[in-house]
Amino acid sequence: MDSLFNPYYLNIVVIVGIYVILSLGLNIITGFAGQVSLGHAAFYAIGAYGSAILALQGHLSFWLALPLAGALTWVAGILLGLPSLRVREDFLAIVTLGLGLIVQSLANNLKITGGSLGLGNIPQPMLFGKPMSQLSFTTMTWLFVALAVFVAQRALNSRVGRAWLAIREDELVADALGVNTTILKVLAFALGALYAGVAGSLYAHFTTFISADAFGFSESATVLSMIVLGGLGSIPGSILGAILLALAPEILRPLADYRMLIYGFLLVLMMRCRPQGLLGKSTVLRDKPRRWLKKGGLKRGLAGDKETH
Amino acid sequence: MTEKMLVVHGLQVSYGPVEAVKGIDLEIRNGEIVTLIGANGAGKTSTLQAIVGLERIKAGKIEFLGQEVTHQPAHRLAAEGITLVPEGRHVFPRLSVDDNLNLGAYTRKLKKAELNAQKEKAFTLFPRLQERRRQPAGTLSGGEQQMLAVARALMLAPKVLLLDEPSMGLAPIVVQSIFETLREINAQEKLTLLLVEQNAQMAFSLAQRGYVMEAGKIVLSGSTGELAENPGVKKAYLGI
Repeated sequence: MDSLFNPYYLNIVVIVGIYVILSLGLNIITGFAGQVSLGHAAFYAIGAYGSAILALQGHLSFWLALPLAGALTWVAGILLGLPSLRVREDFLAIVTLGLGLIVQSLANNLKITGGSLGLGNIPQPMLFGKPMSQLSFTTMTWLFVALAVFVAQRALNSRVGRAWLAIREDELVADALGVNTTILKVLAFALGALYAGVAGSLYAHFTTFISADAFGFSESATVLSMIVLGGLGSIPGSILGAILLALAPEILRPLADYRMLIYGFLLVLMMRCRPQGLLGKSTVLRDKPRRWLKKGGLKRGLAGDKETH
Repeated sequence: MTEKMLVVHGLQVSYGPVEAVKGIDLEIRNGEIVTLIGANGAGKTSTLQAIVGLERIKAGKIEFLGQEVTHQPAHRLAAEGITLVPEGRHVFPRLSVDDNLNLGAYTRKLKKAELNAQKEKAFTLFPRLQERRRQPAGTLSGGEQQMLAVARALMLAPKVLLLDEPSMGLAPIVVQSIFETLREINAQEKLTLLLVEQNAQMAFSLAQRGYVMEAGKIVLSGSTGELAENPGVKKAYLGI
């Protein structure tokens, strides 16, 4: 038991939990509503810095700083989501990439964020008048994970969730069928950002030190890899993808310099063999040739098509 | 039944310097089936998309049931009862047939039982869809996808339905069956239809009146019987 609860393992369990929350948030934006974002770390940063500054300068307790950081990123999500109303797909990816870089360089250069030195001495959360133990912080993080899963599931099964899927599948038709695509796209960004804000706040108060390095493009790319690996649009997929990719660098740690090489290779292999993600639904277009092969080749495929007319 | 369902006055649509629609007038009465025919690039799709609010209107006016609705966004027009079955079907490919239909009724906020009743009605019109209701829509054949696109739009209970080249890329027998269903719905429920087609023969078999569009302008209009006898139409669209 002692070894299971050792600080190194608990540390990993907390970080994995934070990544699960980040993935679930990006999955709402990209997996549900179909808006590709390469700047998710921006929301993570806003949540982390927001919470840290509220605690350091505003002397607020963690329990107030976290919800306020969530509210702050919600608003940031609305503002940064506005470009999604004007640009689509690959153009949106570039715009969100740019926004991510802007937020990171602001964090790196503003006085209030501590510039390149970052912010240290962020207070740990207090519980019953004492600093929270690592075990209770771990438990709390995973309670937030559970809440995040619950909210994402409820949202997906709601009228809003169905509208998101319609936008992802075909925005023009969604519009023609009465879906207010403007409001719903911004709402997806806002909710996804709120998740990242909570994750950022947890991260800041867990590590007690943050700097702009932790919120760069590679962070956005990692979270995107997690949801693609798990299966875009799938909640269990986002959880699994986040767990695997957050653990992979730790598990591969003995391989030292080779670990990023193997990590990268696994991602490439994955996209080649299971492009829909581990738990994603198979996409129609990719599956078609395979089904044809099973049925006995192209000829029967074509004949079959004729019959259905 | 001479009430005006949809009136278009002097509609203009441009893409930058390119004028796609150069001031056209259309009038569709309650319960009518009207067709708009024309060659590629005549501006038919732009006209439809402008009417349903998917394309920006440069000038002109659109009236729906006597109310001006120019510049209203598409989602609001849909809630008021104007919807479009776009060119190329555009089903939601990764969602099941069932979910495609559910989304058709998005604006109506139906109770589960009412929604199911609506779907049963759609399946009576297009029995083929019922067999495939759990399948992703992207796995359907072209004809089935067109049926689904029409059925999905009908779930909205529109007052006027705009169809953009529903015959495109489909076998004539499939088109006939879809047109037959549209005729049935029109007769039973007085649903007004505006049908854009390149296939004039098919369109004339369904519609009562028609407009001929060329290079962004309406060049001819009249009953489909008259149009079919017009020498120009015969030569250009009917290949006679």
